[in-house]
Amino acid sequence: MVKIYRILVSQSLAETLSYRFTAVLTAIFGILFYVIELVTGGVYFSFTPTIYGWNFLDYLNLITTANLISYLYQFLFVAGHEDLVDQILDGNLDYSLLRPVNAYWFHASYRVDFPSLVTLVLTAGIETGILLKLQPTPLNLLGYLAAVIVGVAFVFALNQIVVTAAFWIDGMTALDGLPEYLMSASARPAKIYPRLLQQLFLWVIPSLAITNVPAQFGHNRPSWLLAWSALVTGVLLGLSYWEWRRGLLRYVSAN
Amino acid sequence: MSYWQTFQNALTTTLTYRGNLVLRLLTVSVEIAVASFMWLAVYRFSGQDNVAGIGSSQMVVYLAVVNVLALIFSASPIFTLSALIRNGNLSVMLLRPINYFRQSFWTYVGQATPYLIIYGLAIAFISPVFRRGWGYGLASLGLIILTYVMFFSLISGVSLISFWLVQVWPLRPVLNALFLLLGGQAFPLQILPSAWRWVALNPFALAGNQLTLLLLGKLSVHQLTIDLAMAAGWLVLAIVVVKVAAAFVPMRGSAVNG
Repeated sequence: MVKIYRILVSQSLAETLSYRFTAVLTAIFGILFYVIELVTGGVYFSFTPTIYGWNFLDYLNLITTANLISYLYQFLFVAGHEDLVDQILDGNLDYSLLRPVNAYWFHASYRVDFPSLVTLVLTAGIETGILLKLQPTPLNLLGYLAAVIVGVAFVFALNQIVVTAAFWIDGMTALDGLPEYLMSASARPAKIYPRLLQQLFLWVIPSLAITNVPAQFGHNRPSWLLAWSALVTGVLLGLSYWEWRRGLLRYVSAN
Repeated sequence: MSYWQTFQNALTTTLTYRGNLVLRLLTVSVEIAVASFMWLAVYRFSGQDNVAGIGSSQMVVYLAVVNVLALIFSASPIFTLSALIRNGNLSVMLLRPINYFRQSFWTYVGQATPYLIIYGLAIAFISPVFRRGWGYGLASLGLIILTYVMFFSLISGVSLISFWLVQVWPLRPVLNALFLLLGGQAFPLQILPSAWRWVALNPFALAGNQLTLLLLGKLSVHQLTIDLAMAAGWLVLAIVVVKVAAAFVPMRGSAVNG
């Protein structure tokens, strides 16, 4: 498995190097939009020192962690997901189904998106700085890392479910952007939302929990919410695998 | 008359892809809601009901309107021209007995019509603009039209760059970022300290921030006059850029159809 993944990663790197200009620009734009979020956050907190108990540093921690999760997803999985939609719609899945590997994981890890690695490293650097300032206990730091991993798995599961829907629906490109919109709307303190929305996105589709839980490990230890979001993520992953198996039954090859 | 058909075509296209239109309005609504909830929390915890002259309920209207304006002032002409040049189909356009820029303008209007109607209805029903006398109402209408033509001309000026660059897609995120920061889409520019007020005179701010304040009835006669003058200034600059650049356009027989 590791060997296959190493080959896939080196193929991705070769592809990126042949599109250097694009890679550099993608990284610059990532930084640009992070700076805009930073400035906007600065504007919010120039009027009040805290919002629902979050100070500016906590808020920075929140948006940086949300970015970290989304860049980790982008780096590891987004290129594979984009490719998978095309493969399903074009009827070209046979080549990977024939391989003696699990096709679900083969497609999930098919490509690594190196352009987002630059922004990922930068975001991780900023996050390290924030964590050094917040000084969480070792146990809290462990909780933070676990929450980030759960977060990436959650975003992966949501996207996988949407992408695999291509077995049934064609041309709903609009649907593909849905997880991204959900996650960017979730990169805010949960308490700013009305109670009903809070409950929905903390407990049912825990996208607010995914971003808010790691950011709270600076001070608190929201272990229950972390355990719950990990559980829901596990269920969603299982669901996406089941969807994949069902989808393959409907799959029609073009070869 | 031919431009009327151009306008109709663009409008029909926008309305035919209803799914796209609905989805775009939906995503913009989510963005407005997120920003509104964040601002309402800021109002609540700052203990004041007035941030840079804007009350909390007005802030929600501000965010809604400025996001609709961001849809109206799109950068699509850049990508249309770039595609025409790369396909080598521009010559087909140039052969027609019409002016390319005028046609492009009416396409621009046609594409934005649903959003223009939303803005127009808001101006007519919510806004106090027309309650401030005929002179002010007419001047406001003048500012809206002038800003619209000015922004289109500037975008057209920028679009000529596609004669030299093969890839223009990076302009899209750059222009989005400019509208967010300089156009007042992320936050109203009045919040900036007074030494930074001149930022509100850039073309993006005239299109986003100032037209929103106009709708909210927050533009004094003095500011309205300055904005009219600035819009006219930017328009002249844009026209000069288009004329000068057009003179240098490399017409290297790149058409694919002879």
